[in-house]
Amino acid sequence: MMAHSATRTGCKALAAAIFVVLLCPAEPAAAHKIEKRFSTTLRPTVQVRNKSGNVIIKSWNRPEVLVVANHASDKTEVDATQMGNRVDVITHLVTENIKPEELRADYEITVPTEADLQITLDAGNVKVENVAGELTFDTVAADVDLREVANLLIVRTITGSLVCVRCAGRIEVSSVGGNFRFVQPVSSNLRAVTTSGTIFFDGNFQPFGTYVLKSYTGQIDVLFSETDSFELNASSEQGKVENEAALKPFEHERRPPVKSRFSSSYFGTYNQGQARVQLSSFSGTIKVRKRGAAAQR
Amino acid sequence: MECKHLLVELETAGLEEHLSPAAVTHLDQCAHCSGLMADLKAIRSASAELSEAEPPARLWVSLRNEMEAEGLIREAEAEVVAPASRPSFWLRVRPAMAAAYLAVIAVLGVWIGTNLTPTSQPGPMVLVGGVEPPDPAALGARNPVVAASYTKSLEVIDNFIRMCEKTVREQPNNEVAREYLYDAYKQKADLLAMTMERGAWGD
Repeated sequence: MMAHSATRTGCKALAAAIFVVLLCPAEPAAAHKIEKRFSTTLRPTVQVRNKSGNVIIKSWNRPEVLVVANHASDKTEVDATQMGNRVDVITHLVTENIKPEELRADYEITVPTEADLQITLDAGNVKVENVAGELTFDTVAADVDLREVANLLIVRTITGSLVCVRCAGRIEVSSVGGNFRFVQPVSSNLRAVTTSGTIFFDGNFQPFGTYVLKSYTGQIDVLFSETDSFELNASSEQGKVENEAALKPFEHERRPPVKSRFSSSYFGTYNQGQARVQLSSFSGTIKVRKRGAAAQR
Repeated sequence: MECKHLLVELETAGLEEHLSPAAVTHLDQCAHCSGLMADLKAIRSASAELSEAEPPARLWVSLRNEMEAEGLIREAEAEVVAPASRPSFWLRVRPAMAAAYLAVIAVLGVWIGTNLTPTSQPGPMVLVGGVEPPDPAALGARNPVVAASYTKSLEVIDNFIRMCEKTVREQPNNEVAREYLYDAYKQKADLLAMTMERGAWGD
């Protein structure tokens, strides 16, 4: 009797174990993880070309590149190869017959701090932190999130947005529908152009820096502080320009900028007028606001 | 003489050197055409000082796609026939294509300067050689998010072009609006080229 009971208890335990195993959230059947490490100089070039997914790039002080890739489908494959000081990370399609969700490949790449990056991504997200090389991003719908990058930054998107926090160096960004957000930039040369997106700039204008922000139809918001020194030329053909900076007229030897007689515009200098700030839009609103006052609202 | 007749004469005779007396008279009387003439001279003067234009890389891809589609080139055969030491097809045609790119931009500038008069009627937008917007799906945009991005962006630019065209018609002397319109045309051309290029890579 006792043996029979023990057998029954054992069977129940086995069934329960099988049940638990079946219920456990398993890794996708076709998930693939690849990890590769490359020895480079302290300033390699890393090129990433991906169709869809997240690309996260971090930095360290070692002369090597670590690539960790995850892709869900057998219909894609990841190539991570090295040619001299360049590392290429490319997602290939194995077949033409592929569903959108099968395109996805996620990357986490660690690079030397001074690395140059060339990132091409159609959809998803790119996040880069603490990289000080020449950075180029080319995306369609993918958003770009940059923290504390420096040197040269070039971003082109179709509808993807850009968030740039404490970015330094020369910055050139363009998009059709993407929004741009610059928070505490340390750049003395910034140029941002978007057709329908919005532009937000909250930072100090560097002395003798040049800032060109242009949105054809979207809103441009610029926050300045009392200690900033800049000359402003803000004009919108069909939109409004709201300005809280008490501008002085340009000095007499300077000619005012050429402007359309149809536009709404402000121009003049604030404090010594050291930085040059050019804000333009066709039909969007431009708001130039004092930082403290803007925070109180 | 009307403005359009002057334009025809400019195409055949060049910039004012061999213009007819009627054209010269028209230039004296028409502020619009004299402005255009001044712009063309400025372009000619500036272009003489340029060494070599470098169009965007994606232009080569889109032009190649177009030429392949029209059967003008077959790259595979060219690779077999061409000796190894011979410059590639693209290196050989680059100067011509660079000139073509500049010509397209120049034509757009002239077109904006001449066609958008207060009396001209709005019509369907025909871009550079009648290029129609490509279908993103047909170009390999397998991801619906990507296809939607292209489609939405083309709509955004087209809407902006219409807005600028309307403004230029209503305010023919608004140079800033003309510049925005010119930028919008260039942006559309760039977007179409990028769409075709993206459809081709990485697979």
